[in-house]
This record gives sequence, structure tokens and C-alpha cells, in this order.
Amino acid sequence: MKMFFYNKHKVEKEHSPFPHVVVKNFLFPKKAEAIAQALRKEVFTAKDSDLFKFRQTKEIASSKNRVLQEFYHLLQSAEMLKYIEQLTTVKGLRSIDMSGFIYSDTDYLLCHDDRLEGRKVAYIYYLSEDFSKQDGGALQLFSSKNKHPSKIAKKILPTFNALMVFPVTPVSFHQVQEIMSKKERLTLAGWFHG
Amino acid sequence: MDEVSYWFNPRFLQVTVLIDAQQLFARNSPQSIQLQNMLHPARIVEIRKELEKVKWRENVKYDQYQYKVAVMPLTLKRFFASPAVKKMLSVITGLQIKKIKGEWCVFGPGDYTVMQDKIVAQKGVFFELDFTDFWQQAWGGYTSFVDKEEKLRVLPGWNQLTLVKEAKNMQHFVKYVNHRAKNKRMMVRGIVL
Repeated sequence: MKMFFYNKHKVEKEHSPFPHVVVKNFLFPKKAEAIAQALRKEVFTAKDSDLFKFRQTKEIASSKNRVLQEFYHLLQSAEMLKYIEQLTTVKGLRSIDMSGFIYSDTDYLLCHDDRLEGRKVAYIYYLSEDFSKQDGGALQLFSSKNKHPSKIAKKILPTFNALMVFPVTPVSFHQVQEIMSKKERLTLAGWFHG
Repeated sequence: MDEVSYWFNPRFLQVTVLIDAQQLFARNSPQSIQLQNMLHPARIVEIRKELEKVKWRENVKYDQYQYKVAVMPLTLKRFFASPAVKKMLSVITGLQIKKIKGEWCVFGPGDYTVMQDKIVAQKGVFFELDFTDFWQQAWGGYTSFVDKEEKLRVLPGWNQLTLVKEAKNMQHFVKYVNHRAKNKRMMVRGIVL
């Protein structure tokens, strides 16, 4: 697994407003590019509800693409699970789910905590070009009061080849800011289960 | 001055129109009706003047809703308190209406409400009295009534009253208003009991 890690990768552990970790330059750039290209060829279906509007692929586990399958198996390998456990201090991770997401102009995901049976750690692997403030699409983390979100405390802009992970807890409130430009926010995301 | 003719567009004083509305409300699923150009034109003139003085304040619980509210314009306050109005709505809905509770609100870019995990059984009839002069569905901002899937969608309009008797497991939400919206949705939303 170590061969996948880009030797220039950088780990940033933060605690505010809730514990999260950003690994910049996660994979070798050429590998990241190959994954992005492979993902763009997948079929995305429009999803629209009160809480969100975006496009999503089926589970990557069922994808026929070799490059995506390789990434899927990497992320759920025993070594990777151990690595994520070390990063987040959440123990007992056993499996993952993974889908591709595209957010385009006016797409969004409103404030929620991700809590659902079995979800222990959330992850997002950014595969689009870098976003600037005016583009929107930031991952916004909320501070909380009495287990309810109180205000946006941190904004993380999509950066190519960055992996974001955070433990799912009663206070891990977050949202994806509406996209306000022609840029497309491409990610592979899901949860580590345990 | 409290007569039906003071409050309602003359059209709604015709018995045939009222009977049609009554039957439509009963037949629709969910039970619902939309009355266009509902308020008397003279009342609209009064409301437009009162709108100039409205002071909006933020109303937000991020995991439930975000929009602005203000004190109800006087004409609308009197409208909802009027016995004649309650009688009229009783005829249309077939319910004995005693009280009308409403909130004067506005939804602009970034505003929304979302459904909750726990469905609270709805008493009475939900209503929206819209004062939005132009709107495009692509901006969001519409009200969606959902029971496993969307059963009804209400688009913003001007001087438009929508009444919906929600079925047992039904919920509604105001769709997120996106950055492309060139207007704001202004309305009274509430319950007729």
C-alpha cells in the first residue's frame, strides 16, 4: 500500500469545530489523474431531494473499471483501515462504501451529521481542479450547541488529490456549499463502517 | 368592515365558483386547492404599501430551516382574524375553521426548509398565501409535499392561496433557493384549524 502514497503527502489533523484530518497530495499525481479520468466515464444519476441536489454513481464496488476497482480495494485494504484508525483514533473499521459524486452549478448538500447505523468515519477524496472561494462547493463544518449546529466554523475548498476524513459523531455537522460557477466538483466519497 | 366582498376578489362571491372549489378540494389527493388572485384588488394596494415598511430578521436552525420572518402586515393580520374569511374557507374545505395561525416569511438565495426524521401528525389544513410576482421553478423555492415520493408541488405566485390537507405520513419542505434566483419568495405560511 505504501507505494500508493505520494512521498510529498501532508497530513493535517484539526480539532475545531470537530475532529477532522486532511491528507494533501494523497496519491501520486498520475494515479490521481487516472482515477479522475476513470470516474468521469462512469454513469452518474441525478439525485434531488429537500436535503441535496447532485449526481451520483452506483456503488463503485460494482464498477467494471479496473482503475476504480483498484482504488476501492486500496481504501478497504487491511493496511488502509489500520491507517485510518490511526489517523482518527476510531477503532474497529471493517468495510467501506464508495460512490462518485458530481456537483455542478446550483448543486448542494445541506447541513446534516451523517449519522446512520454502522457509519464510523466519513471520507471524501477530491478529484476536481482546485476551487476558489467564488466557485462555491466548499465543505463547510459547523460548530454546535446542545447537539445542534450553531454556525459555520470552517470552510474547506476542494483541492485536487486531497483526502478528507472525519469521525461520524452527534456533532459532526457539515454541508457542501452550493456550486456557483461552471466548475464541477468531482469526488469519490463514502464511509468506513465498523 | 368584515364581509366576504371586502376581502375576496369578486369572482369568489359566485356560488358556482365556490362549489367548484369545494368539490375540487375534496376530490384532489392530497385534498388541496389553489385560489388565484384571491384577495380583493383594494386589499392588495393596502398590502403593497405595508410591504415597504417590513423589517426582516433571520430565522435559522441549520439542520431544519433557514429563512427570514417579520411582523405580519396589518391588512393580512386582519384578514386572518376575520370571521367572514374563516366562514369562506370553511365552505371551501368542508371543515369548521376556528383559528388561522400564520407566519409572514421570505425565502431568498440560500434559504430552505428540510423534512424531519420524525413525522408529527398534522392537525388542520396547511396553507401558503403567496406574494411572489415572478418566479422560475429552476430557482428552487417551491413547496413539495412528500409521502414516500412527491405528491404535490406548489410554485410561488402572486396573491395566491394554496390549501393542503396533508395525509397521515405526509411532510412538506420549501426547496433550497439557489444563487440563480432573481427574486425572493414572500408568503404567509401556516395552519387553518
